Amino acid sequence: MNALSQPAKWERFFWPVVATGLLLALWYYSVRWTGTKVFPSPREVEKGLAELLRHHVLWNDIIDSLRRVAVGFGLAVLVGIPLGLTLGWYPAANQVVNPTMQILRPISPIAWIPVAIIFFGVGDNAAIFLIFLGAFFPIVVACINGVANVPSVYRRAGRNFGLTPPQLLGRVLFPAALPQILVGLRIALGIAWLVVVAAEMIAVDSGLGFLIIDSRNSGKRYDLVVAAILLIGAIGLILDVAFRRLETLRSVRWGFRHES
Amino acid sequence: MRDEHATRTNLLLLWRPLAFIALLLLLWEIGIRRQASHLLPGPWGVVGGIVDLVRHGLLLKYIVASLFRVTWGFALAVVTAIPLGLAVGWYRRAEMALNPILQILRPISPLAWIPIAILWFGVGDLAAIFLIFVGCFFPLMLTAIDAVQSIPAVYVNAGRNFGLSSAALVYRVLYPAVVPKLIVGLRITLGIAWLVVVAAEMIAVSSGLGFLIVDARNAGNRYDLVVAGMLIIGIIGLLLDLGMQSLEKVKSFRWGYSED
Repeated sequence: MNALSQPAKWERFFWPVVATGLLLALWYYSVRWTGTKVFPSPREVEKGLAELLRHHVLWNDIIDSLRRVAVGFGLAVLVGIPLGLTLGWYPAANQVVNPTMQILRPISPIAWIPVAIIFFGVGDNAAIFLIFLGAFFPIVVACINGVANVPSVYRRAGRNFGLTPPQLLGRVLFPAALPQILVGLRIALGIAWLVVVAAEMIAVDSGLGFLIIDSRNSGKRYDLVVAAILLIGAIGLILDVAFRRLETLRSVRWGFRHES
Repeated sequence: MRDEHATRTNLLLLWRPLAFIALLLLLWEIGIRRQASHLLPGPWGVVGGIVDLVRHGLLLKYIVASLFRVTWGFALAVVTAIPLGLAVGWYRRAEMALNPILQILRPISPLAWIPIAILWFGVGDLAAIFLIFVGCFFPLMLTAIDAVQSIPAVYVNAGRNFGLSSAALVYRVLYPAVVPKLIVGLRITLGIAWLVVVAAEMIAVSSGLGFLIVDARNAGNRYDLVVAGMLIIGIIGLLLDLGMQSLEKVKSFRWGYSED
């Protein structure tokens, strides 16, 4: 959008490679110059990653983390969307519940850890509960706003066509609110991914978060720590991209607006 | 007649949410009474916990410690990420170059950085501030990039055609167009900062509200203090959010190019 000419096609690959190369070089040389024995160089991280892969611990940890996110996030979706739609549909009910939600929402899911451990003991269920909490509130809020933002013209038009309330909800409100709900779901998934790492550092003994804390505590293997951190970033990115794909699906893009 | 109706609905609006909260508290109390173990506190226990904290002068101290860390980490991120993001957003090639790196680093849970933060800064305030900085930096930078890129090219070209100097272009076209989006980004990011500080304090330091929660649990299972800490975290998070929301309403920030 600025004055410079449109970048050529080759530049799309050229500049990212240059920037990544520069960053890796900077990392490599700062490790060498400071002569640190603890912090790993890119090469060592690569070796650490290969070592993890060879011992098959990595896949188990990745699968454990993903399973917890899937269950916690899935539960939050199953409970949060119907609740959010209902609250958005009945503003009176929303007004009743809203202050309570506003207080509960900003409590960091991590702060629930002690309570989660009392309820569920140390284990999968505690981690899943924390992820559920982290994802639940953004989903509910997105649904409430999504439904509230549907222009009342559409509701009235639906009524005039004689739709029953369930039909109105299923055929007008839900599709109209869907784009906004999906954005909320994507944010919630990002939060779930953030929470699972923290929960695994404290409440369980498997998964990528545990891998980080464990490699640090047992023998200061910082190469494994950095390898795990990069992996967390890569998986988070994949989740996000997959979700964006969902948003661009045609059936999802309805939303009444600028339909082409 | 209408007036009377209006005041009645106003009263109802005020009364119902309070009644709902009272109902929840009642259910909580009954639930606690009915279960045999005396680990979890009832509402009165939590009030007692807060009074205890105030009497020992800990509450204010911990709140100040947490807010201190959030302020520094958040402010550092704002000062670095926004100018950088605006510059990168303005130059397409820079955005191309950095985008893959940003996309990988962004979904890394700030908490995954904890071992590295402790390695670099030791156990203490600096480590916690670093974690908050990391948690805020990437979302803010991406918001800034996005804000610049979503300025319609027409506005920039129009500004140029009117012969605005670069400085005037930045001040009179770029700045007003970007600020509304930035404020939304700032609000979301402050929420993340508040989430991260609690987790960081649970692991990396020995003061603050996050530490209060972990410490109350480990030193003698004082779950009344745990829940009191959670409640205070929720209330402060709510206040922070309301503060940022009121920023959105400041008139000089509201220009944008949006229709109003």
